[in-house]
Amino acid sequence: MARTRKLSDVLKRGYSDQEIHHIYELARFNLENGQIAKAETILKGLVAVAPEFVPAYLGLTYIDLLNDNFDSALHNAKEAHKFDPSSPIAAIFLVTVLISIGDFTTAGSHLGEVGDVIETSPNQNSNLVRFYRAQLARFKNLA
Amino acid sequence: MKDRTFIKPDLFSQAPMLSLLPVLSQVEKLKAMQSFFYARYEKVAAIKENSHEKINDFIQAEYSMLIEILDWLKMKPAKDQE
Repeated sequence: MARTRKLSDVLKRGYSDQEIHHIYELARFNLENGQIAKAETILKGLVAVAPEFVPAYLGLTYIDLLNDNFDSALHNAKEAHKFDPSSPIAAIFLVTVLISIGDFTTAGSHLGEVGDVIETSPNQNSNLVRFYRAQLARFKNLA
Repeated sequence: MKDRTFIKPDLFSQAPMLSLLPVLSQVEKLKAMQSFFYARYEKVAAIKENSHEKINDFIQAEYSMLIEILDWLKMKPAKDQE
């Protein structure tokens, strides 16, 4: 059974969980307001001070895809999935990148895993379900 | 006058991946931590200034992040006030 890792278990170079979360919210706030470069600077700082903080890698994956930086997107999506393999959001972000770079074999296997999680969880985030279905359709069209 | 009802589109329809990013806190809560971030900035700036070698990428990334936070908090780093 996979060990659940709390943020407080990991190295944060002097920042508390609370401070990390508040800083991350500033990055998300900037993303929602189209301040992509500011958000990227904050998220890169976050992964420097909290190298296992998954939401920062998710944010960076999103920015990399916006900027067509697929190598960096793949790196960040893999880091998010590595540090939280049970997260369906990390898995679907990785699938999105894999489809974008044409790695349909790996995308297909992750898509199957995410599908299993979504199908077996009754109270799933509706946006996650919508996004999963969009990626499934994208996979079927392109693969 | 015509009644124009505007329904704001949900975030998912505008930016699906962005809508999936977890919400962990409220950005306004940063305001209560001004002194922490300023002290942290001074510490990192001192390390950066006293470093004779090429600045560690991690220090530079944290420094740039703190500048953005202080900017949002409308606090000018001491060096900029001179």
